[in-house]
Amino acid sequence: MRNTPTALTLTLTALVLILNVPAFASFDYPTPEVDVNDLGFYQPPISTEPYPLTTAKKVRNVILCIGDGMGLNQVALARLRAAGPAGKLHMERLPVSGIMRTHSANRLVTDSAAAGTALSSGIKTKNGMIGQAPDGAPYRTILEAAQARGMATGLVATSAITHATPAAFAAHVKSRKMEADIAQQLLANRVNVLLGGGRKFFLPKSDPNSGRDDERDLLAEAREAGYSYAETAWQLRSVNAPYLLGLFQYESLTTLPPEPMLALMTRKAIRCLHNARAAAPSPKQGFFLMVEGSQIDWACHNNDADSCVRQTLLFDEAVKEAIDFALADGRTLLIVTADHETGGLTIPEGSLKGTDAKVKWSSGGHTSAAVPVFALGPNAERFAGVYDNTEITRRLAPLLGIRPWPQAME
Amino acid sequence: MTRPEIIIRIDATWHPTVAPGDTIDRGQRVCDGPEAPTSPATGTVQTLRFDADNHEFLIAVVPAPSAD
Repeated sequence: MRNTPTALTLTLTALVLILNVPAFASFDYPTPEVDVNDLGFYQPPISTEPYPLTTAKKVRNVILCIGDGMGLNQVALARLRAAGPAGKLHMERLPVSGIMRTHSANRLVTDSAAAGTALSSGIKTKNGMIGQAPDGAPYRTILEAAQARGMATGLVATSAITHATPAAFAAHVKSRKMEADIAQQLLANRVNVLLGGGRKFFLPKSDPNSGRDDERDLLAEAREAGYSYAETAWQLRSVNAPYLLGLFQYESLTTLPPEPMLALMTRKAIRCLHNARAAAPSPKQGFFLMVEGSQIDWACHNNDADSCVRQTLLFDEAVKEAIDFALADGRTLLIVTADHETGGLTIPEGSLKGTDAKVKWSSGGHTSAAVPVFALGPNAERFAGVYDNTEITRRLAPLLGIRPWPQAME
Repeated sequence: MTRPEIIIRIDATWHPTVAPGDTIDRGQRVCDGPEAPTSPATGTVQTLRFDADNHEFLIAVVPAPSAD
């Protein structure tokens, strides 16, 4: 059986090669061709009935899902294409809904930095600023305040994890462009789970793929600080750690296989955070997780309706993961909203089939249109109504025992 | 001789007010936002591209032969 050892050797060699992917090696997925009109990946809800309101009052966990650029009509278009005019997306089955204004401190039309800061810290700031008031004073984010109360924390995005929205939850910089600094702050803040793109901001300048202008190797620093690391969906699936850094591209994600989809990243983040708290000295303290569907905004900047639908449905799949966990857990407050609307999208015509809905765009930029809020879980009813984007954490913080709010940092 | 194109970067929060094929004047605003950048040269807009990672629109302008 001369062939047997050879075959075995080859098999073992292949296994070693597969399993021995260096933990901090650089890996980039190829970009496969994809038909963005193929919505077969998405399963709309079977029922359109709202999920029940809960009588529980104690909030243990918070999951905040943000569709970047996701106005009411982005939701409507995705619904029409995927579920028809009488159908619903998963997020639309949440029992409480609200309408949110989005202007920033200095502009009627916000950007994601100012909007993210309003959502995370409860304050208005100028466009471009992250985690700071207009005068530059840093304000604590809800993630930081939750962490200070012993909660585990996580950020998930399909952009670079250093992009404006995730950055606004754990960084304080005067400009959203300071992504190398933001990467340092995300790690320094000991956010338990960080999943997204943006690996280049974690690599030293000497690496040809680096986006830094110094020699700090943040991947090595993360490893020394106790983070497990993943660069592929396979690695992500196989890890379960209280500190997890997953960077699946040098810049933004492709949102295409074989990358981990937003739903998988959300499921993994929830599991890691839930397990981290279960093993903690004070397991009664839960977790805070922010999940961003970053690329709805990008599709709308390109006035690309098909891509907008696809990105909104990918986001809705992630919301479904959060819904499933929240319903099973019973003490998880789930809030789904957006930072602003992008594109000035309207749907002026189409038949009752919904799939042939036509769209018009009034802008290539953001607009001041109000955005939806959907909520489920303990005290979800507090998120009904028409209110400002600073109200999300102003209503949320007291539910977590965080007072006063907003909080200027010393 | 072909002149090198000029790239104008604008914050994608704002709506670009030029499109590929447009003739553009030196000093003309290229988006509808406050403090909108202006074109440094007279020419023709060749491409308009959204740069997602930097959240900017990149406007490529080919200067007119007579432009300074």
